[in-house]
Amino acid sequence: MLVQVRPAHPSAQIADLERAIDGLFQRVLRSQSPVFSRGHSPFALARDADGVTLRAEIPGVEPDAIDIRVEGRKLAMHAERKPEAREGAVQLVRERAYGRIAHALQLSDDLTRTRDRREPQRSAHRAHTQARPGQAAADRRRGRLRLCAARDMHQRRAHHHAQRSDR
Amino acid sequence: MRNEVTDKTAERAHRRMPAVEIWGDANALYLSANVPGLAATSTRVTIEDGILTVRGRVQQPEPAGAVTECARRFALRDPARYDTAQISANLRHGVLQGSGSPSEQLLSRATFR
Repeated sequence: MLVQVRPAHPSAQIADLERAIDGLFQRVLRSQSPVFSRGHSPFALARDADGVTLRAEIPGVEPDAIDIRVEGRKLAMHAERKPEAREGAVQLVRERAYGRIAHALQLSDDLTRTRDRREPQRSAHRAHTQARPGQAAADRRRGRLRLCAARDMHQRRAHHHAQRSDR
Repeated sequence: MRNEVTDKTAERAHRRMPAVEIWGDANALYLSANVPGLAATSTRVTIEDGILTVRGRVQQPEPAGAVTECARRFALRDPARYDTAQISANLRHGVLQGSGSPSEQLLSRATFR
């Protein structure tokens, strides 16, 4: 799962997001099996000129079964990894974790949701969450989650109201 | 059956060691491994010299072109039971699933394509 968050003003918002993700790393690393956690984190944060990208790996879950939603300032991801049924077989090694998976990120005020997308890439589950400063046009790609800066949204609303009052 | 497999994975700094599950019954061994980001073309499931090996390469997004090796190795108590010609594997949603059926044939190598 790939989540891209592009804040309008990177400095303060990236710092907030990095603090949230630091906490997320700790929670996730504690919940993963020791073997899987060794030398690798299932979450990675990358920064570029436009913002930050959060990449999350959730193997063993159908992309459509990953619930991604934004409620207020919280970006929440929920999924469930169900154990495989092997009737009559003896389990010799057990390291994979099962059960409910829940992660949440606190978003800055000027990010909000318009659409979402989930796509499998190279057998990893990735989804995109984007917000680009000054970008108001809707992304037409199917199921894409885009986060726009609130200032842009306010500007759009103000523009929309202005258009309505002109009619 | 309980001692059928023994973990022989050697820890190396550049390797990811995916979490696995292995089951066994009278007919086969079944393996599932968490390998998100693994390229199917680079994935190998082999049984050689009594060692069941799962190996592949994960392309890292950062830095560009970086590759991480992913591997697990398990010693089989009775490797002669398994025929690599009967090894099957598939990669789905970041989980590699493979199985090997018992046989009297010589063990060699199976490649996941």
